[in-house]
Amino acid sequence: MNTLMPAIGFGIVTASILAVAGVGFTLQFGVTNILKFLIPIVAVAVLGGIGQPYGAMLGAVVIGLASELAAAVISPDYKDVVAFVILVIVLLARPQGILSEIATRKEVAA
Amino acid sequence: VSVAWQFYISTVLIYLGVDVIACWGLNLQFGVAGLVNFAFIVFQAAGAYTASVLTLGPAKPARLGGFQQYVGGANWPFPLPILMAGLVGGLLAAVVGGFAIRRLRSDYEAMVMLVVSLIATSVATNQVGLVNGPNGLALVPKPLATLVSLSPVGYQWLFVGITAAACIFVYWLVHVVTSSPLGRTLRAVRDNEQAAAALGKNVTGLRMLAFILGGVIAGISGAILVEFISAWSPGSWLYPETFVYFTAVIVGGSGNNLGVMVGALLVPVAFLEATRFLPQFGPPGLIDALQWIVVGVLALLFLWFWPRGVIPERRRRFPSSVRADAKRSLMLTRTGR
Repeated sequence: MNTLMPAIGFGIVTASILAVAGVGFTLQFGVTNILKFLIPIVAVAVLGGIGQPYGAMLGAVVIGLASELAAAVISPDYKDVVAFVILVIVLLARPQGILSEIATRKEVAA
Repeated sequence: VSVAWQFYISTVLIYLGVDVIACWGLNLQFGVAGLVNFAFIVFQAAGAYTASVLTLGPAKPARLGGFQQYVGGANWPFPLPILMAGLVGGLLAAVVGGFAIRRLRSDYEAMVMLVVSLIATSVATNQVGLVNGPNGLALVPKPLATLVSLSPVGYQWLFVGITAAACIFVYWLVHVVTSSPLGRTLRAVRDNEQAAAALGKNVTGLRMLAFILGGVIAGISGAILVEFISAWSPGSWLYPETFVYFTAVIVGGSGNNLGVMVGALLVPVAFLEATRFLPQFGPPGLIDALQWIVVGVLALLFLWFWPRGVIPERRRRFPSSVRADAKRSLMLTRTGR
């Protein structure tokens, strides 16, 4: 019971934030194809460092810029691939994220 | 039995064989070695592409009437493309495993696998010269079709025989692995990695071995599937397909080869085939969309209420005499005899 209530609370807060993001996205682009964004969002969170709000912001900037620049330089088809490759590289090379102080390397890498 | 029913039954049997082979491969990785391979379908796809490219022959340029482009076309006789598909599946597993399972915790490993699956789909779709891009490969010649002169139904049953032979071979393979000391060590790694490492087992090597063997089996299953349906495109191996196999393994009983076979019979075959006979309702495509929901719900229900599956993994017991013998020999070595 001690962990259940905070978990539900966090779930509600997370869902609310995501709902705001979804409304913003739909207002801007007029379509709801959020499924394509699931993995890039995870990439952003991991890149910034899990549990790090500012890290997540930095991760969003890095992933967003990298994938859009890749679209310009390589080809728009490989936009997502670049985001995914960054995710894999970060997971392998710096699993604690670029800004993390909480998670230690040992926790993530076996 | 009418010809139409014979066609239907033989087709379902071939799909069943392919799914059973794939589930055995996934079971070796997920059920026995505990590797959460969310990229499983990629290895099946790699096998399928290999087999089709090796039977299609060299790619013709468009001015000679060629309508598909791919690399490394060849015209190999029947069993070789399937064997080569297994080899390619294993090689791909060695590459993916080489960076994914060497150093990551299992949940991060699962995430990397999922991402690998997405990257593979994206590359195969956009790199048109590789395997004909989003249109995929088509008109793959059927094995032995030019050598034997059979009626279409007769050929169907011949293919059922080929699939059954492949099933028997793969079952032999997974049975040898899971019932040997190697299988016992793999289960030990799955259940307690630290303890297995402390006993001097090469944990990473063992997991890699299971991963590569699973990749080989996945490649074989993809090859048989593509030789039968004679077409393959990125649309047939999107990442949700992996979760159908995961559901089959979980429902059947992960870690148990026979249970997994039952799971393959229940989830991808019986369950998805049964919907063919439902009366159409709602907008077109509704039943297909509901299938995914129901497969997901099925996996959740089984994980919640019945996590060991329909036929659970056998709990290993060691008779007391064996234990006593082991103890005695241990004491003898301790006392220096």
